[in-house]
Amino acid sequence: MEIKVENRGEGILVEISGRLDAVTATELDATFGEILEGGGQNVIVSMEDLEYISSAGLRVILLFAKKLHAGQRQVGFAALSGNVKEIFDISGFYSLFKIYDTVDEAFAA
Amino acid sequence: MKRESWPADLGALPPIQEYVENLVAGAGIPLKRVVQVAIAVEEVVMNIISHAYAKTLKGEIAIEFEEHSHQVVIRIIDTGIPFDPLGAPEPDTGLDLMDRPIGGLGVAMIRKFMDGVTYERSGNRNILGLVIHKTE
Repeated sequence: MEIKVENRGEGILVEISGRLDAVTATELDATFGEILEGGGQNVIVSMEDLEYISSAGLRVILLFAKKLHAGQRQVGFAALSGNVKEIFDISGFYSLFKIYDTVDEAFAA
Repeated sequence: MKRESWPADLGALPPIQEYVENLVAGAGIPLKRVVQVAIAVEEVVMNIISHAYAKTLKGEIAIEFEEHSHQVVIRIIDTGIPFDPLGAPEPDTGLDLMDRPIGGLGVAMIRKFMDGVTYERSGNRNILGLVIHKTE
């Protein structure tokens, strides 16, 4: 898994690629921890090149969203496809989060 | 039938997945489904590590693989305490963010992605079976 974090001024973009599994979920948790401490901006997570996500990854995302929400911040998701899209659907994340077709659309919203 | 085993800890997850993915892909299952199998296997392995072996801490996870003409069967076997992940209640995916429980989604994915799931306690073994059809 690779994680890239970019501060775009109007929000923070987190790009996750590869595999988000029980082994790599701790890396994402650490990145999210830094973002939580960092300041008041909203977050967009791009999953364009994410090919694999397990419940360990969903758990990290859900915890992050809850902590952001407690601090009056929001997280949205962009560019889901294939298995990742199906898993968000199975997990009911479409009714929980704002989900955009593209990163540009997410930042324009 | 092919069979291999690993010590039951998090470090075994990548080699277990590599083993399963190679066998499933070798049976002609398309890539998207191979990833679904890998996810299902991770969910089962993590359940074994955190529940079946939660108290005793030591043990092994064995993977058995069988290829048939129309399907493949993967059995994930441990010798921990009896634990049937299929007995867990379905998560309520309709709750609001702050009320949504952390966890419970793994079993939902196993059920959705696999064509068949079985659990059996045989002697001192938990045997979790995953069935994947070769055609959709």
